[in-house]
Amino acid sequence: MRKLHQSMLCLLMLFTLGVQAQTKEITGKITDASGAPIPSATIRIKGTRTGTSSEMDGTFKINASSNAILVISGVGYEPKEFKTTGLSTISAQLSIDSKSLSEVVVTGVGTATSKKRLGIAVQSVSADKLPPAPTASIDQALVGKIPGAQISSVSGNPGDPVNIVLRGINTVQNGTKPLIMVDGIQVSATDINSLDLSNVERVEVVQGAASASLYGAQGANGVIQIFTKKGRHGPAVINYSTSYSGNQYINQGKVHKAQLHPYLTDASNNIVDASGNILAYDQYGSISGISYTYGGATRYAILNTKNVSNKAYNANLKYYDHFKEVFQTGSTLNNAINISGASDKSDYAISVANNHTVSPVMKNGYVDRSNLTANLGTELFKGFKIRSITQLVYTRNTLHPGLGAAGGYLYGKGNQIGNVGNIYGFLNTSPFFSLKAKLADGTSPNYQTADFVSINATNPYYVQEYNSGLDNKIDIIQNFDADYKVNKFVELDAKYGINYRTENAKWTYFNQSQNINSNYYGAYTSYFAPDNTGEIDNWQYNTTFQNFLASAYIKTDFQKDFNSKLPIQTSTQISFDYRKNNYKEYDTYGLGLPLAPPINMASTSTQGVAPYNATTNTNGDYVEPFITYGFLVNQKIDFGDYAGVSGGFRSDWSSAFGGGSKPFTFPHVDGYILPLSLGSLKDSKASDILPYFKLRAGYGEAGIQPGPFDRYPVISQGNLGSSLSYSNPIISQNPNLQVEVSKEFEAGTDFSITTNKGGTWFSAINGQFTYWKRKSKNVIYTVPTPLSSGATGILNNAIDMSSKGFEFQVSIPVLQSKNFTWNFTTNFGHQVSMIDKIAGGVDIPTGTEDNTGSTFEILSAGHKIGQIYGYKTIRNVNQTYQDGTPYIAKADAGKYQVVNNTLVDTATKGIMFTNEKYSLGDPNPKFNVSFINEITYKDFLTFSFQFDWVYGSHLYNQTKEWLYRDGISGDFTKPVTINGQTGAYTAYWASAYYGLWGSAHGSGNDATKDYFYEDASFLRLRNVSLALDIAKVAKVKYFKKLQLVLTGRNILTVTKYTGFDPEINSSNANSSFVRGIDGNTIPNIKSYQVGLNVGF
Amino acid sequence: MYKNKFVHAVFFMGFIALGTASCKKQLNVGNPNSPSLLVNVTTEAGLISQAQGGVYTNGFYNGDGWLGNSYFSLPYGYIELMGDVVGADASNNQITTIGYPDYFILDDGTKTTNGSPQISLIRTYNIFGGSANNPLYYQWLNMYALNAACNTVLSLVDGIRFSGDSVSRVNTLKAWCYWWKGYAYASIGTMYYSGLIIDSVNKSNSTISAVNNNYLIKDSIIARSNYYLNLAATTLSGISSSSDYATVLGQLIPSFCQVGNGGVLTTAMWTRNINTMLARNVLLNKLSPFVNNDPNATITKSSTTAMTTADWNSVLTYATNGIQNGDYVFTGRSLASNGFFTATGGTAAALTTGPNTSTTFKISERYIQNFNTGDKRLATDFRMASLYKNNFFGTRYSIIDSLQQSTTGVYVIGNKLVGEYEVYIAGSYEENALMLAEANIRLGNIDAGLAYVDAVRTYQGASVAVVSGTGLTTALALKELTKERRISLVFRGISFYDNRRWGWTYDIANGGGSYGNHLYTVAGSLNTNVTINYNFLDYWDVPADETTLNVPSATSAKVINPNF
Repeated sequence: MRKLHQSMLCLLMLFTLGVQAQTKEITGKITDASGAPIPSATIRIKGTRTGTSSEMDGTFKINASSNAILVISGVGYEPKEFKTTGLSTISAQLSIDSKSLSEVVVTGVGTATSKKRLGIAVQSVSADKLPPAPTASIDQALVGKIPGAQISSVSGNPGDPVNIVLRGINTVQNGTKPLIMVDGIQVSATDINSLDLSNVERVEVVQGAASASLYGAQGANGVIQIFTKKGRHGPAVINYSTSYSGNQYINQGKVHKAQLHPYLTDASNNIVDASGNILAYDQYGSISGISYTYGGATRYAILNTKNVSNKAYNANLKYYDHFKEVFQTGSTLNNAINISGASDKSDYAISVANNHTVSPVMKNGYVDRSNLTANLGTELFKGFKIRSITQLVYTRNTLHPGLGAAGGYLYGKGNQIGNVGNIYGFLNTSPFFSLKAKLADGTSPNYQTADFVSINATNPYYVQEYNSGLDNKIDIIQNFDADYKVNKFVELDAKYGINYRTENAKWTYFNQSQNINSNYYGAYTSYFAPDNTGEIDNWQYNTTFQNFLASAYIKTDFQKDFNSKLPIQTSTQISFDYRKNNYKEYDTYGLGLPLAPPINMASTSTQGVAPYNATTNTNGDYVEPFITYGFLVNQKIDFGDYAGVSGGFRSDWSSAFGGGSKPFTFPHVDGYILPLSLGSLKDSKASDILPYFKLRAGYGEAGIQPGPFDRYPVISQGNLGSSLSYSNPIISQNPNLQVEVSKEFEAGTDFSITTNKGGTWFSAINGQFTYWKRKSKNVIYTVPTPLSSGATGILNNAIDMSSKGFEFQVSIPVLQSKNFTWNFTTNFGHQVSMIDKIAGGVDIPTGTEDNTGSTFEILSAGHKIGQIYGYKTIRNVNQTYQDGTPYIAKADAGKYQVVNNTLVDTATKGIMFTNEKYSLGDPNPKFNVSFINEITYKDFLTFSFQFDWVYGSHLYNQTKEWLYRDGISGDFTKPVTINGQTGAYTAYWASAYYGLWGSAHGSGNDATKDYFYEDASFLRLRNVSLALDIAKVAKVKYFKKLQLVLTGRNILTVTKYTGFDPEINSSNANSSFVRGIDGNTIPNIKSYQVGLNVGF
Repeated sequence: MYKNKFVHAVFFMGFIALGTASCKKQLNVGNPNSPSLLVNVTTEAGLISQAQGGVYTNGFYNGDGWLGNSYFSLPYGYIELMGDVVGADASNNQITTIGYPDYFILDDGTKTTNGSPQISLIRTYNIFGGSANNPLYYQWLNMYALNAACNTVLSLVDGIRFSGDSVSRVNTLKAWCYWWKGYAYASIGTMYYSGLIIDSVNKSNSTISAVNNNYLIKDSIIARSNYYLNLAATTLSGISSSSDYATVLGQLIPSFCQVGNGGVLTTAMWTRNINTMLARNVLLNKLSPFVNNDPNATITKSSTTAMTTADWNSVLTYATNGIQNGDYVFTGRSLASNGFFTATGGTAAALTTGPNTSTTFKISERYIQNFNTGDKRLATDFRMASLYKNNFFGTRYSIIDSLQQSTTGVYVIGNKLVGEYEVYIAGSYEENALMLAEANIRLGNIDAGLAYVDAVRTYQGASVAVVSGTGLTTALALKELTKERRISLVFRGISFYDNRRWGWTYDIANGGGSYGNHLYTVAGSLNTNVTINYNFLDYWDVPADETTLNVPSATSAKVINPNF
C-alpha cells in the first residue's frame, strides 16, 4: 500500500514536469523603495521548487509558464507575488519588512511559526548580525545581541566559556547554563564555543520557563538554538574568509605595581639591610635583609606611620613591570571556506574552518580549533525529506597547566574554565624581581622572596619552563532528520542526534630536582606529586549524548480544509523526546620522572588512578549515566491573523528524579492578539500609524534536573595505601529529591510604529517589550547539618527563589536613502533574583568553597542571590554598631579625620573599618543595554559598531587586595594628606588590607571589606567594523565578493572600576552565586582584526 | 487519505507509549562510582574497609584541606601555635593571631601590647559559615566525624557474619570503635568548654549520627571518653583468639603505618595505650601550675581546678600501666599517593620544616630555649641559616629537612620525605614516661621522676648529662620536666594543653604568665628574659556552626566559656 502510494507520487511528479514544458523567459529588476537594486533576492515560481536569484544590479531571468505566479523575496523585505500572465518583464519594488514580522522561528514553539503568531518572546539573530569575534565562537558573538540576556565574557583565557544568564538566577547548584540545541537537537557533549561561527545561519533564544516549557525538565534556564547554513537554490557559492588579529589583555584600571618604594636605603638610594649592606640577589634568586625605612625588617613595619613610598628603584634594585613581562600580545588567525548550493531536490553546504589562538600569557601555548561541517538535504519522494548535518571539531590546546591549560577533574563535562592558577603567582612578587631573571645555570627561579615580602610569589616563567600541556579534543555532532508530509494535515518528523566528544589532556611536570631554588624552598610545580621530581597526568574524557525526537504535527485550516467560514487554523504537536548522556572520565598519573628523555609514563616510578577530589566529589575513574525522556502535547489555534492561543503540557521521567519512575509534568499556555487587525480597525488610521501591534502573554513551567546521583545514598571510597577503604560522605544524598520547578509568567508586546511614512529618515520604530516574573520551587542545595552528626550537609529541595525583570528591543531605520542606510538597534534587559525561603530558616554560607580568598557569600532568605558580605569602611565619627552604639566616643572624635572619604585615625594613619559584617550589595547589574549601529553606503561599504553598557554591576577586587599585602599595588604611591602632612603613607594604604576596628592587623588581614567592593559598571565598544567590498567597487571579474574588513573588539571601555576589566568574574562559568569577584581573573582581550572575505 | 492520517497517528501514539514503557527500566542508573552501605558494607571485608576509612578519612583527613591537609597539620597546628612551639605570619585563618600574646615585655622593659587579643578575635570569628576564619571549627568537625563513623560501624557490626573466631573478630572491631570514640571525646573535652554525647546513628541514614542538643560540660565529655576507653579495654580482655584479633587489626591499621613505632598492637600493648590516654585525660584537664618556676603557683581564674594528690596518684597508676618502651602505638605515615596526609603538608612538623623564610610555620625561639647545652637534637635537627623577622615569632632557626633517625641516631623532629616522618596520633612512650616523671616529682619522688626525663632524652638520642641524682629541687626538676615535654612531645597535639595546665597561657593578673623567655627581635637581638602574657581562652567555645544549627537545649551547659 505504502509502496504504491510512493510510486503514484513519482508518476504524479513526472506528469507535472511534463506540463511545465510550455514556458517563456521573464526578465526583471528588483529594487527597494529608494530605487536601489536588491541583489541576491529570491525569485521562485509558486508551487514549485524552481527559482533563481537576482544579480548584483538586481536583475534576473527566469523561465516560467505563462500563468505562473512568481514569488519575489529578499532578506529583510516583504515578499511580493506577480502573476506572469501577459508579462515578460517585471519591475519589482520590495518594501522593507517591518522588523522581523515575517521571520519564522522554531525554538520554543515546536513547529515553524511566524513571529507574528507567537504568544511568547523568541529572539533570533541572523548570521549577518553576528560580529566576527576573534575567538570565532558563537557565544562571544552573541554578547549584547539578545535583549534581556546577560551574556558576558568573564575570562580572557583562550577556550574559556562565557557566562550566560537568561532571565534571572533560578537554581543554585546547577548554574545558569541554558540548554544548547543545534538544528533541533540538543547538543550536550560539545561546548557552544567549539561550534563554528562561520556556518551559523541563525541563532534563536528563548529565555524563560514560559517559552522553554516545551523542553520540560531541562528548560528552566532557557534555550539557545543554533541553525547551521543550508545550501541555497542556485549554482554553487564559494565563500572564503580569512582574518588575523592581535590580542592584548584589557587593563582598564591601569593596574600596575608601585614604582616607588618605602624600603631602607643608603645615601646612593641603594636598598640596604639594617647594617647598611647593599642588597643583591643570592644564588636562589632571592634577596635577604630588606627592611622598611622605619620599623625595621618585619612585615608589619608597613603599618609604621613614618614609612612613605617615595623612593625610586634607581640603584642596586630596579623596577620590573611584571604585567608587561607576562601579558604580551597574542594572536588569532581565522580561516574558513564555505561551499554551498542546491538543486530542486537536494541542497548541500560544506564548510571548513580553522581558528588558531595564541595565548597572550607569555605566548605559552595555543588553542587550535578546526571545524568541518556538512549539511546535506534531499527530498526522496514528494513530501519526504531527509537531512544529515555533520559537524566534526578537532581542538588542540597546548597551554601549560597553571597558565590556562585544559584538564582537571570533570573538565570533560565542558563549560569549564582552564587551569590558570599560576598566572597570577606574580601578583605577590615584589617589583624588584624580574620574572625573566635566571639562576646561574640558566634556569628560572620559582620562588622569588625577600624575607617578609614576596612570600606568596610564584614565577609563571618557572611554570612555563618546567611543565607542558597538550589537550586533544574531538567533537562529533551528527543530526539526522526525516520529515514526511503525509498530507496537508499530517506531518511526521523524526530527529536523531548523536553528540560525541573525546578529549585527552596530558600534563607533564618535568623533574625539577636540579633547580636549586626549587630544592631550597621546596617550591615546585606539580599537581599530584609530593616533591619536585615531576609527574605526568593523563585526563581522559568521553561523552556520548543521544537525543531522539519524534513528532507528529497535525494542521488544519478551517476555511481551506473544511470550507468553514471560521478563520481558524490549528496546529497540534505530539512528541516523544528521549535523551541519554554518558560521561566517562579516566584520570591516571605517574610520579617521578627522569632528568633525561624519554619522558613518558613508562619512565615514571609510580603510577596510579587520580584519587578522590573533595571539590568535584569524584575520583579518577568516573562514569555518569543520565537518561531523561518525556512526551509533549501542544495545541495551537490561530484566529485569522489577529489572535491565537496555544497550550499543552510535557511530562518527563528522569534517572535523576527521586523515586525514579515518577514523572513530572510541566504545563504551558500562551496567547496573542493583534487588536488593530480586528475587523474595521484593520483599515483605520490607527493601523496606518501602528501597522503592527501585538499583545502577548504566556505562562509555563520548566525544570532543572537534580545532579545525576544526588538521589543515591552512597559512602565514599578511597585507597589507604594498598587497601580499599570506605568512609561516610561529608554531604549526604537524598533519595527523595524532586526536580527544581520554575514557573514563569511573561507578557509583552511587539509593535511597529510608522513615524515618517515613505521618508528617508526615521521612517519607523520597531520594538518588542517583555515583562516576566518567575518563581522557582524545590531548588536543590546542600543544607548544612550540625557537625556533630558527622556530616556537614544534606542535599535537599531546600530553597524557593523568585526573579523578575523586563527586556526590550527597539530598532529604528534611521536612514534609508538610495545610497545610504543606517539602522539602529538597542537591546535592554533588567533582572533581579531573590532567595525567598530556605528550608529550616538558617542561612547557607557558600563563601569558603569558591576559591576567592576570603570573600564571603551567603544564601539568605529575603536577599538577592550572589550578595557579598564583609566589613564596611567607617566614613565619619558618628558611625554606629548595628545596635546603635557609636564606634567613636565623642571625646575621641578629634583623633580622627576624613581622608578620601574614609575615616582615618590620625595616630596610626589607618583607615577605620567596622568589625560587624554587612551585606555589601548585589554584584549583579541593574541593567544591560546594547546599542548597535549599522551604516551602509551603496553596496560596498559597511560600517557598524556596538556599544554595551552594563550598569550597576559590582566586583569585589580581590586581586587588588592581594597587591595591598606587601604594599606593591600602584595605589601605594598616591599621596594622602593626614594631619596636614602629605605623603604616600604605607600605613594608610596598607590599613585597607590589615585593619579592622580595634585591631591594626590580624583579624582584618585580607578580610572582605567594602573598600575593595567596586562599581564595575562599564560602557564598552564591543565591536567596531569597517568593511569594503572591492569586487563591487571595481567590478572585479569572477568575484562576487572581495571584502576587506577591519574590526576592533573591546577596544574602548569606560568604567570607574580600578581593576583590569569590569566584565570578568573569577567563578566557574555560569555559577549561580559566585557572581562578582575579581580574584586573579584573566581579563578579556582587546583585539584589532583585519579580515578578507572572498565570494565566487 | 483521511484513514491514512488516522493510521499514522495511531502508529505514532503507539510508538510513544511503547517508548515510554521500555525506557522506564533504564532510569535506575544507580551510582556506579560509589559503594553504599547496603551493597558494600554487608561483609566482614566491607565493614573493615568502613572502619578503617571512618577513622583515617573521616577522623583525620576530611575537611582539613586548607592549611596542610590533615588533622595533624590543622587542629594540631593550632595546638602547636598556641603552645608557642611555632609561630606563623600568614593571614590565613588566624594562624598569625591565635598564638600571639596579649603583651610581652622585653629584657629592657619595652612592653608590646597586642591590639587584637586572642580571645576577642576567636569570638569575633566564631560565626556560622565562617570556617575559613574560625579555628574552633576544625577539631570539632574532625572529632565528631570520627565519632559518627564509629557509630556507623557499631550499628552494623552485629548484623554481619564473620569468619574464624567471630566473637574475637567482632570484639576487635568493637574495641577499635570504642577506642576511637574515647579518643574523639578526649579531644573534644580537652579543648572545648562543652560538648555533646552522641552515640547512635540516625534511624533513616546510618552514615550520620542522631544528634541531640544537650550540651554537657567538658568534664562529662571526658568522663564519656574514659567510659569508652575502659569499654575498649574490657572488650579487648574478652578476646580469645589472638590470631583472629591480629588479622582484623592488621587490616584496620593501614599497612604503611605499620612501621617504626606503628604496628599491630597486641591486646596488652593496646591496653597500655588505653592507660596512657586515661592518664592524659586526668593530667591535661587539670591545672599543675608552674608559673615562673614556682611549683606552688596558683591560677585564680580558670575553667578547671588544680591537680590533687589523688589526681597525681591516679596519673601515676595509669601511666605505670601505660605505654612501655618498644610498645606499638597509633601512628601515621605519609605516602606518595593514597595516604591520609602528605609528606610536605600533612603535619605541623612538615609545615615547619625547611627555610624559615618560606615555611608556613616557623620554629619558635621559646621552643629552642628548652634544649640543654650539647643536646644533639638541637645540633642535628636545626640550623641557623636564614633569619625570620617578626616582632614576636622572629627566629634564627629552621628545621633541617630529610634527616633520618636511622643514620643520625637522633629523634627527627621534621622530615618532608614521603613516609619518613612518624606522627603520633595518641599516646607515645615519651609522653607516658614524662607523665610518670611529672607525677613522681609532684609526689615528692624527684629522682625517680627525673630518671624518666633522662630515659626520654636517651630514647631520643639527646646525649646530654643525666639530671636524675643531681640533687635538683622540685622547682628545678619541674623545669627539666617542662623543658623535656616541650621538646620531645612537639607536634603531637599537646603543646598548648601543657602550657595551659602549667598556668603559662593564663593572664598574669590571674597568676599566670610565662617568664624568662627568649625572643629574637626584628632589630636582630636576642632577649633572654622576656615576660609573656598569652592570656588565651583556656577552653574553646563550641563552634557556631554547631550551635546555630543545633541550638542548645534549656538545660544545656554553656557553649561559650563563661570564665572569659
